[in-house]
Amino acid sequence: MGKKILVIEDEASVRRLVEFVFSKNGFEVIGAANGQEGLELARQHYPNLIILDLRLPIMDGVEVGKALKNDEKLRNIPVILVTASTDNIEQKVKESLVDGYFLKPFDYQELLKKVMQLLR
Amino acid sequence: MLKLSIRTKIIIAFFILIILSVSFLLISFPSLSKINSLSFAAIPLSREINILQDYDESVKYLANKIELYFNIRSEEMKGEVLAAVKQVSGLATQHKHEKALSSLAGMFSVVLELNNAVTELMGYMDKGESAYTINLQIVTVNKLFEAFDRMQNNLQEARLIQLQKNVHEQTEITQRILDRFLMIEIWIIAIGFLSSIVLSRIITRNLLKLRQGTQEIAAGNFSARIDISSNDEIEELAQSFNTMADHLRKTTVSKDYMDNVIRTMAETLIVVNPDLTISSVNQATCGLLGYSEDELMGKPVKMLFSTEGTLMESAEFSELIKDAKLMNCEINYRAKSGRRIPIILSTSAMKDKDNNTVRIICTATDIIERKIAEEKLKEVAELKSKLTSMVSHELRTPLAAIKTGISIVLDGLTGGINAEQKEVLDIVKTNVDRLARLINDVLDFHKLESKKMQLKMEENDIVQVIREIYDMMNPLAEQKGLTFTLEVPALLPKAVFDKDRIIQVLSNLVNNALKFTQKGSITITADKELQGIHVAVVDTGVGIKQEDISRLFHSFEQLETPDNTKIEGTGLGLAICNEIIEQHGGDIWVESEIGKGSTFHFIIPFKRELA
Repeated sequence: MGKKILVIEDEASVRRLVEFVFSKNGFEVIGAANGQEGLELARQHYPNLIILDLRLPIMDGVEVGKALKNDEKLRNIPVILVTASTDNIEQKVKESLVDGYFLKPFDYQELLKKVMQLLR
Repeated sequence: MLKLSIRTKIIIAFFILIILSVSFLLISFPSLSKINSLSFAAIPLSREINILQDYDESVKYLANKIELYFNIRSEEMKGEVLAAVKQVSGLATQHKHEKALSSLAGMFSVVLELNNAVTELMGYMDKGESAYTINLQIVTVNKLFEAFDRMQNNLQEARLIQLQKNVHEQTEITQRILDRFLMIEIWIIAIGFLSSIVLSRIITRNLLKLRQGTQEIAAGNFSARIDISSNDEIEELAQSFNTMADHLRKTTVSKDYMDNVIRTMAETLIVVNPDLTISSVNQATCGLLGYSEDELMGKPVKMLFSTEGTLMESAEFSELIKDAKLMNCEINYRAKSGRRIPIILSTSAMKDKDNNTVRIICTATDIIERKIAEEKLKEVAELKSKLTSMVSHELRTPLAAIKTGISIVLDGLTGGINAEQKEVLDIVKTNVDRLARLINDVLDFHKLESKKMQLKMEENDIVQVIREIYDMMNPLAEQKGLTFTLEVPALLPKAVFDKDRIIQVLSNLVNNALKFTQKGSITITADKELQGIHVAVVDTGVGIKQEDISRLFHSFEQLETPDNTKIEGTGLGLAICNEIIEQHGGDIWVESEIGKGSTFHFIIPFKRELA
């Protein structure tokens, strides 16, 4: 049985490739193009893990992360932050309460490894 | 005009008067001695006249007594006659032998003869001689009386005439002297009067000229000249005035010049009294601060400054002004409107001979433009920083897609690929990784340089870090056929540093060593030194030219290798290392010899000195 991964990423190409990688590895992947949509889909589908971009329209990664971790039902879902910006990254990671982060361009195998580790 | 000094002129006039007086004396002298001799000559004359009168009286007295005796024949009368005779003859005998009276000797003889005749007559009468004889004798006596009378009269008259003549002559001479004296007196007065007029005219005319000239000079016309050529003290005085006017003109010219310089200078200038009140200001000051000169005179200079927003206390600032110790100090003016104007202020002390401060000169340049420029620079730096992070972000996102995409294909997730496809995609992947590193380097360097990098300073074990690096890099060294060794003691004291950054430094240095070493070895050494941990990366590579060493740690400097091979990189690696070590308070340097290799050293201090 496949585990569900929610990819919240506004950049369609990146989202598509991540979806591709995870579906090839036996995951069920749901994509969201902005923070708000991502949060709604998370509440709808209860994914096993969320990959969250930092810079997003409507709600950014930090806000989404905070919302997820403050939601009784969602707070146990591991979240991995993916970002292209290194500005204040440590602080943002702390603030968004996520479980790990990757700097773009990341090595997808490393990401996969991390996801596996979190889902074990 | 006489070219003589006033003193000489006065002395000459005085001498003329003295000569006149002396010559008057000389002219009058013979006349005066004549008067003198005339007076002397009058003395015996008057005595002779006196004696003549005495004798006249005595003889008349005798004649009287004789006549009385003839009338009253008594012994008593006779005695009186004889006494009168005796008196007269006694005197006559005495006078006859007096030399001074020799001119009267004839008269004395007559008197004596008369006395004898009277005595004889008296004898005749006593003896009772005949009337005839007595009459005869009376006749003789009478004749002698008459003779005496004549003689006496003649003599007295002669003497009187002589005396009269004498007095007349004296009067005449005295009159003459008086006349001459009067005339000379008139001359003296006239000459004195004339010379004083001439002298005073000479003096006053030049004095008037002098006054006119000095008035003109006093009125400020310093090019006025007093033209006096009297060759005296006044001319000297006039020349002194000319010289003075000359000096005044020069000093006024230079003062005007300096005034102009001060007035037109762009810098503001404030002259301050030792009690810190304003003595004077230039136009630039008034213009900048909006005060008029009158408004500032005597006011405390403090009102013009504001220490707000500077590192200085107001009281400290006043002290520094008082001691004239400010040099290129950044401070603010406070304008009349209350606006603060940033300036650079310098002070200097004006001292007198005794080294006392008499004035403090404050010059200041308005640096508002510079401040604006600085603000602009700050804005530009911020823009650069925003741009850098934005660009890097915008580059990273597509790069993420490219890298993931290629990796998926290479890893066969999209199906099998042939060897040629794999080779091409490998090249693409290598370059994508390189591009990613490049972006990271640029960002890191930017953060380090703008001090935005927050170091995570923690106690760390350098030995552990070196081992991590070794594990990471050894496969690459093996791949190149190089020996990679560690000469590190088992235990080193812990130091405080940012582990990730020191790993970055070490991996940069080892990467460089790998890049530039074709054969031989790479060694990392570490030991404890006085100031900190000393780490060195030693290689047996191509080495670095001495002249390039100074440029080595600069940003964007990529050196040419001895064989001119292009080495990939941004030229930021060593600049980043330098920044990181510097921010740790450490030191980084290199020793190298061409063909023999390079050694990169760095020291991490045990305790970072906090700024």
